[in-house]
Amino acid sequence: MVKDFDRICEKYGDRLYAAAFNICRQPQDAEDAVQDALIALYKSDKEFESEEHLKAWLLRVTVNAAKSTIRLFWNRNRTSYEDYMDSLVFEDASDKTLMDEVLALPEKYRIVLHLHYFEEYKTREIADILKLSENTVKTRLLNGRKLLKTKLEGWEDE
Amino acid sequence: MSEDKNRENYQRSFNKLHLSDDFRERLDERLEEDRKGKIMFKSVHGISKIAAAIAISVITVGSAGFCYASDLGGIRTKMEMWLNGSKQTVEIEEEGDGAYKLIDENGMERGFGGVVIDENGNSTAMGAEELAEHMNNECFLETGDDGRVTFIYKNLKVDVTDDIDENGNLHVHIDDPNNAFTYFDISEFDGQGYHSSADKNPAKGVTYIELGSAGADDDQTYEQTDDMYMEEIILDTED
Repeated sequence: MVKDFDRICEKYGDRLYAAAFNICRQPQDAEDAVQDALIALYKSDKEFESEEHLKAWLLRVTVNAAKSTIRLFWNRNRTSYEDYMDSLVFEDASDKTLMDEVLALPEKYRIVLHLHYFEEYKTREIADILKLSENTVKTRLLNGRKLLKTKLEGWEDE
Repeated sequence: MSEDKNRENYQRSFNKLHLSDDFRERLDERLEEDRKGKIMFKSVHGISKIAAAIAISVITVGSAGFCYASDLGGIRTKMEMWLNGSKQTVEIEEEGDGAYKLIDENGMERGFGGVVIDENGNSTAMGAEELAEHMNNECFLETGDDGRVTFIYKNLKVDVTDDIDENGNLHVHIDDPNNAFTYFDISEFDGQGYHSSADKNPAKGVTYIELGSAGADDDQTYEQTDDMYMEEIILDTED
């Protein structure tokens, strides 16, 4: 069992959930993915070199679990995306619009953008987590940004 | 500068996402079940009735059970398995990424799937035979059009509507010599979805309803009748 399990759950729970929701777009599925990741950690004897190593590992497990969840049949007829989004409180309407537009993108762009903008990972680090080539990550990041730019008025050129 | 602004906006937006208040409690429950060595089946909240009877996501792999499979070549497999209370010869067609289509003897198609997550977080799709073996040893709850809830396990079908408590919990025991995990704990049943686990031994302090024998190799389906004897056992709560 990994040390500091309680601290890890507290520290990374919401971050993992944000990544999972980015993929699943469904709260229960996203929580299931986070639960799977934390249980995998709890049962693992893995030695982590650093806090960053641990965080990257957790994100990778969560992303894989979230992808597995959406592939499966019963990912239907659950709490609707619209109902869940209506339950969130955004101070600024543009924040909701941003989340809506990001989540409307194809999955392959969403998770790359999320790891870049939310987790502030560099291209090489995203490639490590997602097991993709750096070039693929760069292309997806570029295309994702372009798509967002066409959808969001406040999205600035980079 | 523009990237900083985009990042700031993105983070402000996605920082609104939080785990639900009871997440940690549910995580601890799953860890506790795992420590007890139970076979775990993932929650199937909100899925359709037809899917509820068939869909599982297997996280921990068990070993007991049976299925007879014959490879037909390609990605379609024919096998014999328990389905909705009777043993049927079904066809399983792989759809990729751990998802399968099951075609029963009546030609009805249903989807199901399952994954195993290893300690490095890699998810591996389970094989059709492996999934079928699990499903042969798992129980299912099905809600009828009249709202009555039927417990289904192999050839046993029992109306358990009045045995489910107000919190959606149901604890039953089956007598099945072919399966070591016969104490079933069902929770969070909400009319469609539920969470279930199976254990070799009864949980302390829990009252299990004896539903009888199951798993005979004939095709007879045993329906519960009003005069069927149902024994409740109360387990010793002392250590």
